[in-house]
Amino acid sequence: MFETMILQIIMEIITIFISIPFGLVTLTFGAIIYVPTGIKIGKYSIFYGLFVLTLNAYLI
Amino acid sequence: MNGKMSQISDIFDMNQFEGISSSVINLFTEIIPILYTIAIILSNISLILGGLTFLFDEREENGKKMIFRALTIILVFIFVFNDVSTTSLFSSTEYEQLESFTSFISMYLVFILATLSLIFLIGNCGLYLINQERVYVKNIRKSILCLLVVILPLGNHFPKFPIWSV
Repeated sequence: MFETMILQIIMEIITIFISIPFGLVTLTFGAIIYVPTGIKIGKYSIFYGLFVLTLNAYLI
Repeated sequence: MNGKMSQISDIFDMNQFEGISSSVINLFTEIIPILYTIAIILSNISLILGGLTFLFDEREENGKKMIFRALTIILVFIFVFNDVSTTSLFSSTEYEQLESFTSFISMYLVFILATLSLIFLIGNCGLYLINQERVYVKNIRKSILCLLVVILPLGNHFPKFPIWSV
């Protein structure tokens, strides 16, 4: 009981504070960089943002 | 059992935790819609410019690259932010205004490219009927691709990305 609650709180903290905000910021900022110039950093940041969001959706 | 629950609520002061999390969420809900708006408007402008260079340029390579970059960004954003306005994360009125603004701008820009490519398609069909050359077939193919690119994001049947189920 105690362990599951601790685990749930940790997962909630990771989801709220790390994965959704940073994933979305990485995704949108990568899109802003990638669309006008087409450099590789923007493409990779879009990939990382999508990866973090999918991990958040399917693991937590 | 009750003792353990009270211990937990003593360790984690729930009101404080909710205050911190809501402030962080408010910070990101103010940043993310602005970035989203900038990215959508930039990708629509890039779509229009790429379509114009693709239609009216001879070499057509840069225009095609610009079109595909903008189209991937638009599709990814539709896929990710599909049900944003119905969730509690983005339920403020400012975000609704931003969303209506972006949708207005993007529809206006997309309308220009659709009209131009339709005019280009009809004109090149007429020219091909009169005088059968390969250039006109190439132009017809280009304008059909531009129309497809414009029409493709307008569909409302994209799968929802399940990030908001928290």
